[in-house]
Amino acid sequence: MIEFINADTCTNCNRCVEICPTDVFEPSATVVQIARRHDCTSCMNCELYCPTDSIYVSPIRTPEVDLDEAAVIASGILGSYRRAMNWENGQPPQGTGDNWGLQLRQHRGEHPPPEGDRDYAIRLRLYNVRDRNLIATE
Amino acid sequence: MPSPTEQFDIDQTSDVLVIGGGPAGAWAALAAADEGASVVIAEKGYLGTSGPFGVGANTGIYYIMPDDQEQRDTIVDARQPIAYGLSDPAWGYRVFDQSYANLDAIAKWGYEWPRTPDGTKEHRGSLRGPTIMAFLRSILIKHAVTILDHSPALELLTSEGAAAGARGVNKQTGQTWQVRAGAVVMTTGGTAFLSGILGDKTHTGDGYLMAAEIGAEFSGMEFTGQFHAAPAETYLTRGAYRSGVGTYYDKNGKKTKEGRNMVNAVLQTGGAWDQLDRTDDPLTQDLIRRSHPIAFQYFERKGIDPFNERYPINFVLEGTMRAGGGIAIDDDLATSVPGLFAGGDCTSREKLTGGGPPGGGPASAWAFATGYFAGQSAARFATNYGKQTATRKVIAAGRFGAAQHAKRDVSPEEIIEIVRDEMLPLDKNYWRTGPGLRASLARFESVWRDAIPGFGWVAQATVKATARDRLSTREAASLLSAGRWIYTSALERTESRGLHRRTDFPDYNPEFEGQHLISGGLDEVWVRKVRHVNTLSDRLALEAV
Repeated sequence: MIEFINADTCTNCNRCVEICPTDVFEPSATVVQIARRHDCTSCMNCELYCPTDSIYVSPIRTPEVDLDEAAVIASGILGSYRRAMNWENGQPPQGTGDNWGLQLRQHRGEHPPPEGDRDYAIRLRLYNVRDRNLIATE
Repeated sequence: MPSPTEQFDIDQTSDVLVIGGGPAGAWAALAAADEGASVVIAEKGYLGTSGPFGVGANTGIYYIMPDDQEQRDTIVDARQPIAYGLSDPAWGYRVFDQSYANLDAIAKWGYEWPRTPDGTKEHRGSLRGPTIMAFLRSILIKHAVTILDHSPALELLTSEGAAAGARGVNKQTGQTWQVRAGAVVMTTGGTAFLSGILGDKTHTGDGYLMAAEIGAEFSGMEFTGQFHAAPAETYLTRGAYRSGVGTYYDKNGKKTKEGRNMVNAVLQTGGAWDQLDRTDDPLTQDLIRRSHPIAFQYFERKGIDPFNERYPINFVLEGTMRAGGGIAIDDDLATSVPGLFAGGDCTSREKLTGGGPPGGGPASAWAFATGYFAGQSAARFATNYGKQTATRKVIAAGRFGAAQHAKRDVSPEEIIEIVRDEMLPLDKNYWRTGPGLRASLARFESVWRDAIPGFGWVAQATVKATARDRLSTREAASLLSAGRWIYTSALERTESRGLHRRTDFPDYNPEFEGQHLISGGLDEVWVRKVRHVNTLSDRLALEAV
């Protein structure tokens, strides 16, 4: 659930208002208001689209107890999801923007799939054909 | 019901109207535009961030290399045993080939896929949802597709029995809209009955109700007992980040296998734990952390080290957002209603994955491919009408929760709570029983009979609040209807198969071997058995002779 918008850095550009799929935000004369907090599903897309890393979304469904806004800001965590997704200034990269998943696949691909995994039967058969790393998980 | 003379703030005409702006809707719109159709796409949230794909950060997608027959056969064949005799292998090749073509198109439009460190090999199998949806949005705009964001459809229009457009509201402005169309594509996704998973708040089965009101049918609604583990109190029913490295433990710390054993451990011990303790290789750990951004935001923000400490998990319903049941479609993605096509998660995915779990990879491929096919079919159907599309007589088809009332006895929230109460518990929906299903259905029927006839939207203080009320009344009626089709089908199938588990019928029943359950109806819910036919495989075999 969304926790706060940093009023010191929010430029009131209203990008979050535009892109929030559940219409959590409401425009105002000063900074964007969190008007319907309980509609938030922690999708964190507002963090991606925010050009100034001004939004903090908690990954849990209920309001955080005793969250210290100043301490969260000081910790430098604002924008961490955006950085991990390679977005900048509210804009997506021209493509995935990294190859960590591919490196993981290669690093692990030298071993047969671990038994008991989801889709184990498929993975084992694919392991035995040329493009064994093709199949995606999730 | 709005009168024929009602004025709309936005009143448009297009060849094709697409309802729902996730990956299936985006591809439907692109395919229809490629056929030369004018296209409007109406999205309940924002096209780019809505739904399980747009919020998912990472999603896998299946495709098959055109020139590697061994790999092609492997991917398609490997899924057959977990489809329980209800899939059509030719559909596998068709869906995976089309998703390959869609990924190829994305690359041609300039999307850069990850490459191996030496730069030689591309990898297209893993997608970052928000990034690729933002990219598809820019492509839709280049294709002159009109996008209506924050614009849920509330009811379909029909003309002489055929789907002819839709009406809805804009939940940000309160404006009303109408789009007349030569054909409609439904891509509204599945529903998890607001269980609290990523993307579930926009996914309330609205498309099911709209389609059923004009006579569409459903298939495989019993194959919906899909639950997934999520770190406690989160929306993260993701599996990939822990694949191959995670271990589940019951509440007492006893190591537990995945699947049914795990669900039983939760029911018996009252909780469960997860830990990514099957690797101590620092490089593997680092690459897992970097390649699964949204899951690891949870660990980072809550100060959990998942490799070295156990964290509590819950099992959460994913329902039709990740299971096979949905609107019945034919090989052209047509529903049983002329002019109404459907694609993605709101359709039955049995042709691809039968009664088993689609998983993310096949489900993404299904959305990309069936969205595309449905858009093509709709554009071709719309050529029947041409200029008549704008002038033909249309009727608004919304019947349940669609009309304005001065007041109402039951609120949408109360109806939704009753539905959630029956759909979300593991001991009602993961493990089903005849008496349990009958009790849930009796509760649903009593709400339907007593509350729904007098159930409608009520004017609020602002136009925006009124628009939101209109939406929530339809959402409540949609969720209640979906629960009725699901549990009526589940009661009929007196066996356990795939994502349908009956503790009173734990084994396969030969009577249901190769049998689909088709369901539908609103005033009276009905279900009937239909023998499985490999429609596409058989047709291709005939053509080859």
